[in-house]
Amino acid sequence: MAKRLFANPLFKFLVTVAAPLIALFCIYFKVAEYYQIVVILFMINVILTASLNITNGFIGIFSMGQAGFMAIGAYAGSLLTMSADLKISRIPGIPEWLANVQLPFIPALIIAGMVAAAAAVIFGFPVLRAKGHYLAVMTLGMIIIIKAILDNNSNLTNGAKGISGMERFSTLPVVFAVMIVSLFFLYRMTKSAFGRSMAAIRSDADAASSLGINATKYRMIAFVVSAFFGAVGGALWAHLQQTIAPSLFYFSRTFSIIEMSVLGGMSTLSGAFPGAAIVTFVPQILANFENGFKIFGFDVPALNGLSAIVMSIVFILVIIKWRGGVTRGSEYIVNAMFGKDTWTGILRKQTYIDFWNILCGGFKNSIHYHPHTIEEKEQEKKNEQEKNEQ
Amino acid sequence: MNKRKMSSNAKSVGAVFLAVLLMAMALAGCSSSSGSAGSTADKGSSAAAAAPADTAGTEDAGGDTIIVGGLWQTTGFMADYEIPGSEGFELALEEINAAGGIDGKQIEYVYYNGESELDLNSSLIAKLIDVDGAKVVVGLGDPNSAIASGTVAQGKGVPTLATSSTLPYTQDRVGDTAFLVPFGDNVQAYAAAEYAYSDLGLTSVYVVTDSTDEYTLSLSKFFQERFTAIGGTVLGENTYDDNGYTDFSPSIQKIKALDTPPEALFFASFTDQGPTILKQFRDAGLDQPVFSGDGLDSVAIAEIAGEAANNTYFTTHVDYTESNAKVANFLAAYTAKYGEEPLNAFAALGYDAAYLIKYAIEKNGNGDYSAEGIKNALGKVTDFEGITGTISYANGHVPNKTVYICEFKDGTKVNLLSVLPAAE
Amino acid sequence: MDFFTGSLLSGLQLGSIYALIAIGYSIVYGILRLINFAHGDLLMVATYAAWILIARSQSLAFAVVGSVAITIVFGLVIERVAYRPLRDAGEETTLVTSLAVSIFLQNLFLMVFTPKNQAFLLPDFFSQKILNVSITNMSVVIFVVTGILIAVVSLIIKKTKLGMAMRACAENSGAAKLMGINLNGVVIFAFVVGSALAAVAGVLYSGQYVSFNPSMGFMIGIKAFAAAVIGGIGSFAGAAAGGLLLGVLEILFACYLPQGAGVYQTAFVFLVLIIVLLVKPNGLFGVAEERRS
Repeated sequence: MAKRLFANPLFKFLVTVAAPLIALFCIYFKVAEYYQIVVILFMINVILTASLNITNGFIGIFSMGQAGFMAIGAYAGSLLTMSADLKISRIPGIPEWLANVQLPFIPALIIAGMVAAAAAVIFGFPVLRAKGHYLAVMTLGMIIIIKAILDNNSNLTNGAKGISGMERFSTLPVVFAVMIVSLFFLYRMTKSAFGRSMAAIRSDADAASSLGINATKYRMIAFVVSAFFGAVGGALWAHLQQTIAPSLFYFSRTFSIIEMSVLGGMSTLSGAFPGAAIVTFVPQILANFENGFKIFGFDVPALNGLSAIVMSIVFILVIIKWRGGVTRGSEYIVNAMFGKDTWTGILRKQTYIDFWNILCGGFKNSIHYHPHTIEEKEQEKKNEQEKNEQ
Repeated sequence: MNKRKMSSNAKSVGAVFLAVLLMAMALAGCSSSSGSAGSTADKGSSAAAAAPADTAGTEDAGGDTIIVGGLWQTTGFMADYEIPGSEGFELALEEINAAGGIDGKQIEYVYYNGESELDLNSSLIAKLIDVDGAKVVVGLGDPNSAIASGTVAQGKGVPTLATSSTLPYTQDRVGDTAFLVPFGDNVQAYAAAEYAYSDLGLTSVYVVTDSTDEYTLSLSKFFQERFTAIGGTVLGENTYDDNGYTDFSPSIQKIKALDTPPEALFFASFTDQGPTILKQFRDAGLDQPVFSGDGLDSVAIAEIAGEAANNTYFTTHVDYTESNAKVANFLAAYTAKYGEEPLNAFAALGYDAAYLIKYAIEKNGNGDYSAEGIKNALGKVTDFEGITGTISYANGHVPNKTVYICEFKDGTKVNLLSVLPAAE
Repeated sequence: MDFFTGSLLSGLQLGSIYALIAIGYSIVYGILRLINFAHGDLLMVATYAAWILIARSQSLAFAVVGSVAITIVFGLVIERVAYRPLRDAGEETTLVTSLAVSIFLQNLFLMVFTPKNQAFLLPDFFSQKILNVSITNMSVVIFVVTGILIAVVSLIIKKTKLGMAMRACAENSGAAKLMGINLNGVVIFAFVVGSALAAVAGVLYSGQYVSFNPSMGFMIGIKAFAAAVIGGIGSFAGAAAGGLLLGVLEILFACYLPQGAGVYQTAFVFLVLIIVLLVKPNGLFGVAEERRS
């Protein structure tokens, strides 16, 4: 029954489109503004995770450098949206041309993404020549280099002291819209011929080459796309936190994103949802305990860093037990959200009838006898046939 | 569909529900955390946290409490300054409330730990203002954090009172809601430079600066400015990046490579680097007198570094050995409450912050207890007598106050003299 | 002593410590093809252990031995709990797991000891200068200890049976198992040696540079890893050479940099790594390895 239920377009629509929309609606209008931050963070994390999955899961380049692209996006995006006055007062020594540029939010996002894409091309040339864990370590080096550049060019970035004062452009509706658009783009990319080529390259790059797929070119494209959306995520984040500094885009940040990717399942886009959910919400829940609490009358002292410890333990356990993450290769969520099947399905009457039948059938089954062994199933089938013949 | 894929799909659907469940828990957790964060087991003095959400932005003219927020970095690299600061502040709050509060209103105190993390500070100050209804926020950590969270507060019109930041251009960067309890780095660096040059007769200096914080950069800049202005020479400067890197040999080598060794050394650093710097430099044979700012104020440095700390001078905000009734009362009360003497001058700054708020509101407040009212009241302060000196905001929100110069000697801190710089 | 010699000496000091850690990385990598990011954090564990033991017992020797023992325990537990179950997993999986272990260790110590920088002060003997040349005893100790340890480990690897078993596993663990070699045992031995080296490196590092906090190990570990790769990971001599070379390059770079560019110090290390890998994908002394599919 479950199989049919999951395949039903109406069900897919309700679970992946309607319910989340209603939830977001309620949150936007009912929950205090300060608390919406958690949900907005979740959506930003979904974008970041999905962007990382493109390289790590789809094409097989294990990159640990996503925090670097996030940093580029955060800085580029902020410098483009801040007013000239603000920039001049916050970043002593800023060159005039940079101070005078000011763009609305969405164009700034796009340009920030493109700056990161350019950086990806530059870094890509040396980094993508390597493979496996050498490549991974080189992407770590990329983060270090990016941070050093941001730290050291005070006239552009205010150095290690960071920049604050950008506007809170990352509201719930805006971030939601960007997330949907980004996911849709990535969805189409993975479903296209390009996506199939990526899978081929991941399995065996040499074989793919012999079939005429230019592995080098495709890897670079995947890397660039991943960088673009990583930067978009970074710019959104910057306009949520309203404070950025190079130290915020370093190892723990990149590991956070990897955590989300691996926990959710890095070979799928759908994995971004559970992965981001766990990493965004669990620390919030744990944060209540970090300040110290009473248990059975004993005072447990403040436990700073508890959430990071718990998360890393969870991470190790999940890797050992469930290599593929929560979704384990299933693209169900994203397929349900964007698939043609869902959107044409809800326009057909038959879908609703089926849905109703499944539910009723489900109730009926749950109070009826369930055949388990093969003999029992044969018997049940025979009974059904006899009933139909009558 | 085969069974494996179906179970994966089931997992996916389950994943969606998981996500929603976690989100709900997190949001529920958020609302209750504002109630719990304000209390810790052993501090005892703070009142219950305020009600969330509804107080955002509304004027609190008629209530019978004044909600004061604290954003202290009780962990991280600023902990050495902010733990004493928050303790001094809470002591004062207790005293004020016991004596009837401000204009008869009790002070309600909500505070969070910013963990010396920049982005956490920005979001916590928003929480203090929007959710907990704080009308003024105290503490704020190092200048980087103080500016970041000060900006958020400025946007909401809520005054902030920094107790650890000494950045002279805070008001320019943040706006008219930012106030400093300590003096600015220009004031303290000038005092240090003049002491080195005029009092100790040292004519040349080499400067080592931590480039990652506004504080260290401004301290270094002002020291060099004054030192050269009064006739000394700066033989060179080396900046270092404090991101987890503790090897000072590049600076050491550059100093040794100079044709004439400098007569003095100047460091712009934070306390936790103190023993490292001193030991490495002394080990390398550099025995010149070392100068620094209030970032080095901690007896622990002398105790840990031992001999290496000798011949080190720094500027700070208070002299606990001064024979002054107020200081003596503070020391007694502090020791009674916390079981030990204050670690450094920042405890006194925290203490002064609380009394400053009371003084400002009672003298200049005109019964307006909103954030705007408190801001205006603070702006009009011209002669508040605290234990760290006299505070006046007539010439800007960074007060010109007495600077105390101290020395590390034989494992302890010795106060040498105090200087009141001319108002500029 | 002139500027260059002074810088060179500082570089060799740092490089010796990198070498000790790099060797540990190399040994484990050789057998398991595992990049253990948590290795650097063992250095941090050792430092805290030594610091506590010195305060408790006032005896440096006891503290050193004790911290080595504690670090070995940590290393073995990590191997057993996090790495052994993933023996057959891909190299990226183990890489990410080791990152998780590193984060776990760092945060564990952050929770217990707070992020505050502490000072690790050895008895004055180490600060005394030798001759008139401003080399402290500490520097000499670093060189001597490193030299001895490298010699000892090298002997173990070349001359003892266990060492031979390690080399066999490094070359082909499948065949080694068929020959009756207990892979688990060899791995345990490798972790013991690596952890011990990391522990000594930790005590030396903190003794020389004084300041330590829970996050110190990760950065040093990454640089030492870069050193191992530059030298040719899997190659014992390569790791040692890579460590020394990297230390020298890093300090010389920092000393000759114009003022204000100190931030680039770490980035420089990685730039070197990237360049070396581009030119010699297996490191300076490394041998090409077949990638296990």
